[in-house]
Amino acid sequence: MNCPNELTLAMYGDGELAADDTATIDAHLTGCAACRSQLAALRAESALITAALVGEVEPVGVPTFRRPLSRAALTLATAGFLLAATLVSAAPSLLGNLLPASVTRFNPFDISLLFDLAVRAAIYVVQHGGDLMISVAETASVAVVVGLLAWAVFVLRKRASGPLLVSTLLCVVALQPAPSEALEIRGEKDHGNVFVPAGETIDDTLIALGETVEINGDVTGDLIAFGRRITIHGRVGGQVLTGGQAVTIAGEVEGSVIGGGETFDVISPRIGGNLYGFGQTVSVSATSQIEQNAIVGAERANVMAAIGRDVIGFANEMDLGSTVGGSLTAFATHVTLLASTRIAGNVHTHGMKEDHLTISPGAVIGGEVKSEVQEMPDELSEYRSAGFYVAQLLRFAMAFVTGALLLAIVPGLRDPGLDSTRDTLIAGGYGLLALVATPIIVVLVAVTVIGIPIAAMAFVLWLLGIYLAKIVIAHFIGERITAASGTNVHFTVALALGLLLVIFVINLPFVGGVLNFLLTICGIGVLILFVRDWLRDDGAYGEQAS
Amino acid sequence: MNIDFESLYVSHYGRVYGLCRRLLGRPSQAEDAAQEVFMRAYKALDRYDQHQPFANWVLGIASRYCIDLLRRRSREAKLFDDHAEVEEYVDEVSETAAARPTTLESLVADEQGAQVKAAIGSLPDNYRVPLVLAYYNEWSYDEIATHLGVTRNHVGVLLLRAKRALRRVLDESGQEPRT
Repeated sequence: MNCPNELTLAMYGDGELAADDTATIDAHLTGCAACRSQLAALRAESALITAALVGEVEPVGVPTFRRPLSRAALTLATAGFLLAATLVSAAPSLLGNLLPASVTRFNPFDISLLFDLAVRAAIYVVQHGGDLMISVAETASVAVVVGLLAWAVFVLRKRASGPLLVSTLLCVVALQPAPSEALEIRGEKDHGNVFVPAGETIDDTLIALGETVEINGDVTGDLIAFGRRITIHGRVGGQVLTGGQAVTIAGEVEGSVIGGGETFDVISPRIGGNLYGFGQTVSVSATSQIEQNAIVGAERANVMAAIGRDVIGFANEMDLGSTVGGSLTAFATHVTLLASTRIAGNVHTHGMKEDHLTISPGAVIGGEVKSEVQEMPDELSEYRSAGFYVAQLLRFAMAFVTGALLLAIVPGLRDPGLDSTRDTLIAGGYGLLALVATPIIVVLVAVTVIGIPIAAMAFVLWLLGIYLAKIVIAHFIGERITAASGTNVHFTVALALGLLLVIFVINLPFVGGVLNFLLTICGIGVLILFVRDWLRDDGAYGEQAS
Repeated sequence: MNIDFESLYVSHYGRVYGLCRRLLGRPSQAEDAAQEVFMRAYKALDRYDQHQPFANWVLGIASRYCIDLLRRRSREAKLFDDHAEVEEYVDEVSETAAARPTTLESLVADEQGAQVKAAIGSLPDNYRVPLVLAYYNEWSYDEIATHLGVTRNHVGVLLLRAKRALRRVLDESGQEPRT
């Protein structure tokens, strides 16, 4: 026969040729000296490579093995973290003036940022609401079912008790009324105008989206309404969630009202729950009655209604002429209590000037009155205060401790796999999607009773993701900088370096916000991709034992 | 299950780290990867068949994890998916079979193992990975094929190509003046 090619000879040398072929080559080799020497050379080469790879293992210290946290410990740690964050955010009001105002920055869940995000998301929904909400409502319900099933399958692969769990879950899912029956969605017909005439009763939750939404009939379930102009005259049996340019709520609502708009007017005779009203101008008329609390955030707030419990206001100008069963807490440039005001509890206001609280003659306050002056530094002057730097230091310390723990528990996150522009764009895309879509999905999922815990969990994960995102990215940046300079440092050093840079960059005036946003979406994307890969890989290792 | 994971960890860390180091390249990445591998092994411990050597099992996890990392690193490069390569290469070796290319052995003296190792480190991922799996893990072609999602023959081709690339690298460096 002809001499075998190098590939055949190499496979023969590695003992990887099929039995027939091996016999043929055996026969050939006895008569061909050239092939014999070539084979010997190939074998020697393999031995050389093995020696180079295995022989010289550089001395390596064995780091201490940290057992992954058990599920209970992880839950406990998360709960502890959230509790700490809550305590920190509540610290200023708990400890009064003992702490400088800037310590609120210690709170990882920067409320103003979240509020800003929520408002942006709401505006986006208002502007592009129609198609988005309908498709999201459809996919969200499917996603919930698929998610539950996927989770059940995941558990099934791990535990023998899986089938029981799956069937239970399936039963729960099956018992849930399908969204198409539980919800009525209106919005596409009549050029985007939704009109429910007086006399018509909707026995479901109604989602109404349109240029103008006018509800004159009654809705027995919840009402979710978004549009440019929203008017609700009918009676709503559940909660009302609404947003638009001009919102007027004139009908009776059994539950709470959560809403916002450029102008947000409440003239409804009765709201059974709480009122959360946000907008440029929020007014609650004297003919209204709110049985629980009223929480109002506005450039200009005018609250005249009778309120069963407390009033909390965030406003530039706030006028109050209500009968209030509880207390008033206000953060405002000016607060005016009109003559008609009757407050059973305390009045506690926070403003920038001494005279920010005006109490008209005739107003009656049952409890004590306390008005506090709070410094509110403008954007640039905050860099001049020492408190700002203390706050940034605390922020750094908290992020560092959290980051070091996270990266020690999940070493895989130390390499986020952002090796090309393409990877970064992909991660950023996932991050943006999660950042925008999660609050929308949370609201939609929360509509059903079974969805509330899922929505709450998703929301907590979302908040946690936003916080952890920048930490992961910071470590990545630190690692790349040290690697580029040719040094190989411990991951905590890279983390510290990266965090310093990131905190510096996101505090830059003007561009800081944009950079913060970009880093956050990239980080969230990295976290999502990591969790996805981890879920995909997990469970495959058992097969390798065989 | 009665497994002393801590002592298994201590006795196998060096081997796993070594594999990650050779598969991934960067030392800091290798350290992180080794930690992640043991974390995953710990979680998957109830699926470990104690009749099998622990080293095989944990090296399997490490290989899979590192290959995934490399795949993520070069999504567009499609590490080992090019099956057309095999046929093309079979033609190529047939043509050059008569030329009897020189092997590494003739290029480097024994004491230059470090040089070979450096040259292996400089190979592209799709050559380095099969080489490390075959000669560091000492896996059969079938095992490598399963992990990389390619055929047995393709493994042979990749290995031979890797060796040729290695010969080229060493040949070039050998002609440069040594300091």
